[in-house]
Amino acid sequence: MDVALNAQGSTLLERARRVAGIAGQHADDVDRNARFPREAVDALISERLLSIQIPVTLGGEGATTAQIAEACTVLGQACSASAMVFAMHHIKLSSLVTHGSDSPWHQSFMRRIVDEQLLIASATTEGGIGGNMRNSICAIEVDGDTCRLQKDATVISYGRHADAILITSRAHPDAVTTDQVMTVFTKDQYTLERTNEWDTLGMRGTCSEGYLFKGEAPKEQILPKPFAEIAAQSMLASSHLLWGGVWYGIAVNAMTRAQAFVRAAARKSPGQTPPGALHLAEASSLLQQVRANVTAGLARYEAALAEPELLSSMGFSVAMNNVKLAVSRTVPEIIDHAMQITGIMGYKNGTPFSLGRHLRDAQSAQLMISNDRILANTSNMLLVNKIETNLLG
Amino acid sequence: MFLSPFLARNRYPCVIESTGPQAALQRSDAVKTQIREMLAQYASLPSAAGLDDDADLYAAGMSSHGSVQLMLALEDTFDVEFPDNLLNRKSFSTIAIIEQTVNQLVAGKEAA
Ligand SMILES: Cc1cc2nc3c(=O)[nH]c(=O)nc-3n(C[C@H](O)[C@H](O)[C@H](O)COP(=O)(O)OP(=O)(O)OC[C@H]3O[C@@H](n4cnc5c(N)ncnc54)[C@H](O)[C@@H]3O)c2cc1C
Repeated sequence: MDVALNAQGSTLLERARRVAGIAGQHADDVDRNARFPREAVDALISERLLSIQIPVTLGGEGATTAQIAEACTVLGQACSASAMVFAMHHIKLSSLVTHGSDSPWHQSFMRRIVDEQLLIASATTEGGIGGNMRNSICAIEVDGDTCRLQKDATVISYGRHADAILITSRAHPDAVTTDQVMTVFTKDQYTLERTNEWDTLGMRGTCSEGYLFKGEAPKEQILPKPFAEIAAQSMLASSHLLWGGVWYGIAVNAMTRAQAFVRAAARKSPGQTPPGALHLAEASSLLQQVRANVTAGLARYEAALAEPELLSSMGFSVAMNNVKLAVSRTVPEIIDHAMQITGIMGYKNGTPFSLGRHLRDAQSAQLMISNDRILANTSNMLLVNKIETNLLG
Repeated sequence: MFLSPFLARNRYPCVIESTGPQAALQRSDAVKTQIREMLAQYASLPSAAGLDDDADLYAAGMSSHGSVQLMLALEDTFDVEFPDNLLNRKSFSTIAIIEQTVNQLVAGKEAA
């Protein structure tokens, strides 16, 4: 899969590993101080990993979602927050690449992302709406060639550190709440007035503060497709799959620590199976389930990309929702097993087996688009969409 | 819940019996009227009565929850089942497309 080489002859995976090396050195400090993972993001920039998804014709590397998810897993093993920043940036790029390739403004913006390695943030969550991103209260106003938007954006990860924000709103002031568009604003085109802090249990380094967003830009920066289509055809799959890559990475690192603990015990008393070994076996089966879920989802997405009808089908949405549910529920369970294995050494901070950060970071998976919301959405679709009866699609 | 007589479930409008191009047109209008009533009642689209055949229902405010409720009502009323390959946004995006789909499913059922 990983054949793309950059000018220096490194594969994507090698480049991601170098960034992970740097991210890992600062992960505890980023977490403790709830600060932006500057070093890791600078490394992403110098490895030119912020533009890998952009098509080759626009100067990028045309990386697939699977390749990006693999990079998310590599980063997720080192620093969840850095990995999540990388994932969220690429979720935004997936919408630009899928829905902006025919629009001259968005094409030239993608070239800028390549040249300047711009970091893109997302503002879908809104005060009064929560995570129900297919509804907006705020509306964009088009006045001649200009559009203006004000939004009570209660969560914008790395908002202060981003070079541009993709933001949802109603399509015009008379539009119903579900008639939405998504617009690109570059940082010279908006102001952010902080309304919420980000002092959280985990994922502290994403710095997902709340802001009152006020922007003004040329109206051609509105993506030329309804947001409903963007959400269904690029955001749904890329969010769940790239998040899945990050969460899998967190679980892998917890398991790596737990396995090191078990092996150390085994080496000390050869001939005896260490007490944690059964937990490790149990957790490895769960880890494999997570991996199978993410990779099957990636394969399904790659197949559906060739058929836009499939991408917006209910069967596809149900499958992506199920990836998210399964992964977000299972990863904390895996880390819990790892904690049982490592005991006090895992519970303590600052040991080679520490798992507190993993456990706290992984808790966010179930809230990032609340699993209850996802279940409600799937249960509605299952009133008409049939259960798949064959094994091989 | 109040059900208009026209909307009584499992009752296909009687115009379906007649034949010829004129009758087909009338039948199509009758089905569209029914779809509009169902949109208002089940898909929380009170504005449906005033919508053009080709108006984008999602832009008018239909949610994915609403579209599923509409499908269930259509399945019950016309005694059809939507196959999975029609369960996508496009199949439910306008009254004209829904009417075409329903007609195809009804015709397929009658041919079977
Ligand atoms: C690390 C992290 C980073 C994030 N970054 C961003 C970002 O960059 N940009 C952005 O826009 N957002 C971001 N978010 C926000 C995120 O995607 C969700 O939108 C947000 O977490 C949901 O907030 P909520 O739990 O308050 O709201 P809600 O979604 O409203 O849910 C609150 C609770 O109410 C219940 N609930 C409410 N409505 C329903 C329903 N219809 N069906 C079932 N249950 C329901 C659920 O139990 C849920 O737990 C981020 C979140 C996290 C954790």
